[in-house]
Amino acid sequence: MLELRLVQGSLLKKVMESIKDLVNDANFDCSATGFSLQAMDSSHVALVALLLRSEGFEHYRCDRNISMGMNLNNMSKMLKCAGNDDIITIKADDGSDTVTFMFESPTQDKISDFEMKLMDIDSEHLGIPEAEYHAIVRMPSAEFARICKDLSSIGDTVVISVTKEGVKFSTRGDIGTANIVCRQNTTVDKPEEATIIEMNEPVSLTFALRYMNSFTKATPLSNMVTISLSSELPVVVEYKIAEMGYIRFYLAPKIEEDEEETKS
Amino acid sequence: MAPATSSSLAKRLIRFSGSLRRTEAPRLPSPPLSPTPKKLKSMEEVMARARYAVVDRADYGNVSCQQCGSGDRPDELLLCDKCDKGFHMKCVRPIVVRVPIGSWLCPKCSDRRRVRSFSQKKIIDFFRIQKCCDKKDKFSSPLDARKRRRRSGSLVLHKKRRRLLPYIPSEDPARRLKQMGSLASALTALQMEFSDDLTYMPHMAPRSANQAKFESGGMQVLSKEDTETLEQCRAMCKRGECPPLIVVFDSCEGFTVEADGQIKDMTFIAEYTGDVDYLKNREHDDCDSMMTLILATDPSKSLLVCPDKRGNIARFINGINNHTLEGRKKQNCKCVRYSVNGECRVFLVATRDIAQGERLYYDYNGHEHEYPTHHFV
Repeated sequence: MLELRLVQGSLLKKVMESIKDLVNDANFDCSATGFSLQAMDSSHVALVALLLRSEGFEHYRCDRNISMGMNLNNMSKMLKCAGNDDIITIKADDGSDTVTFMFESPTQDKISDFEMKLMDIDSEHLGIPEAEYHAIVRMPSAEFARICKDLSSIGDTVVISVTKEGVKFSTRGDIGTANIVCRQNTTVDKPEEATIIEMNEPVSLTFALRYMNSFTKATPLSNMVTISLSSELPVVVEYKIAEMGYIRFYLAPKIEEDEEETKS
Repeated sequence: MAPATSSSLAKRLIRFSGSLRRTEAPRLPSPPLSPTPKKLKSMEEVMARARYAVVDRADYGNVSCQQCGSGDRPDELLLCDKCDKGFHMKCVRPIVVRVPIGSWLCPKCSDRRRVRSFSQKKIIDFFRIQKCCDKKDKFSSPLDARKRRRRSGSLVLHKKRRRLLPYIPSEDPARRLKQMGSLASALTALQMEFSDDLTYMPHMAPRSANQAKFESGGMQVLSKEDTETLEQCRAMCKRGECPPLIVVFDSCEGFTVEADGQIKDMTFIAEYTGDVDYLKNREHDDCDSMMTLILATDPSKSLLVCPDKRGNIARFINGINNHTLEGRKKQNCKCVRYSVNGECRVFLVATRDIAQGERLYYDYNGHEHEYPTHHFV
């Protein structure tokens, strides 16, 4: 028996919007610690890891660990029917192959319930080691989203370099090149507008912008985004979900290959 | 000529010594005809990678900006650590926002590196697959066990069936022509003929020998929907709308197949065609592309597909290395056998989305049995 009641239903709506374009089908894993998901996109270049801790739910009942396979597009269609202020409850009975989403309006005068069929999805869980990153950049999420959007109108890959001067996002395309430099900036009115750069070692990595633009769909979830970089490792783009957990996107870098001239 | 020689020689000498004042390092002559050993790198490669040494000039008093030409605002004038030229912070592109701590190179000097190609890595190249026995956990969980028991009478399927998708050929006819041309060249190189069907030649197995019922343990039957998809793909092929694949020659791997367009997960790529022969006839054959067609309970009835004289693009697709960890990750398609109208056929199906330019790999050792395992549905 599974029953999870989330008062701030809009969080779940925003989570769905941020992952439905990246991943088509995925398994939601429920355990005593929380509600989580780990899935790769169809090209196996990006990975999304979501965690909503049980403490963040108003009511959390999960009798045994289960994995529910869902089509994220369908789930998103159902969640779109919830109002932004609605309380969302996720229910699944033992022995059932469906999951139910119940939306209650805050004034309790409108109650909707949607039932969705579950799927059987083969999923391989990847072990993500806790790593010490060469550089960690914390910046306003809206600014990061704007940078990715602007650069994608020029080129399709972005080079993110972190040096003592700051973090630089560069791209090049047919019409020319673009560089955006963000410096450390802690003297701001609001803490969520600060840009904080922790650099252990300078690092420079290349990524495909189209995935970055998919990740920035999670911007509504948090004011700040944390970008962790390490040479020869995937970048981690993390949006904290207030008092509940996080959504982390991992993106494999593009590595330079030496053109070796092999003589036949 | 004789009297003039000495003076012209003298002149030439002077001119020659004049041109000794070069501004750049002398280039190496063009590579010699005999193959150079791989250990030696060319001068350009060394220069591209070599660290530079910061050499201070004696006097920097009259440095001016290369861009605007003026020596004003000396506190904003940066000196390149390589070419020693001066640049205003606001004149240089990209603009330098703050005086750099440490060394700085002007745009020209920092652009010295050659443009190299980038390859997109996959997430699984970095993160190990933790649990591969996920399925076992799922089946043993009470939720699923009860699911199965309840299902016994109902019409609703327990598993969501993933059906075969037809491939999407390239739209541009010139591109399709190029793809077909690459296949034709590869077949010609191997002195083979193109055949998109299994062929039954005299002195080899007859068509009547290819019956799915001979397979030890039985063979899974291609569903009606999937058979329609198969027919659709064959019709497309006959019309010249070949699958978006191109045969390339790699000096390391030999002939191999690359996707020339996006191929989605569960897409039908091609049928594995060739001459059908008995296993016992080919026991000493060293052809490298023989594919099991039927593994019969009676070994004398076992059949193989041998694309040594006739075949199609499927025989060029390479296999993964089963002995390395990376091998498994490379696999993006699988080879499956199905019973179609009572006959056994072999198909290559994509197991994940394949991007354009990606090479195709499948597991040569994949033993697909008929029980609908989690590999198929």
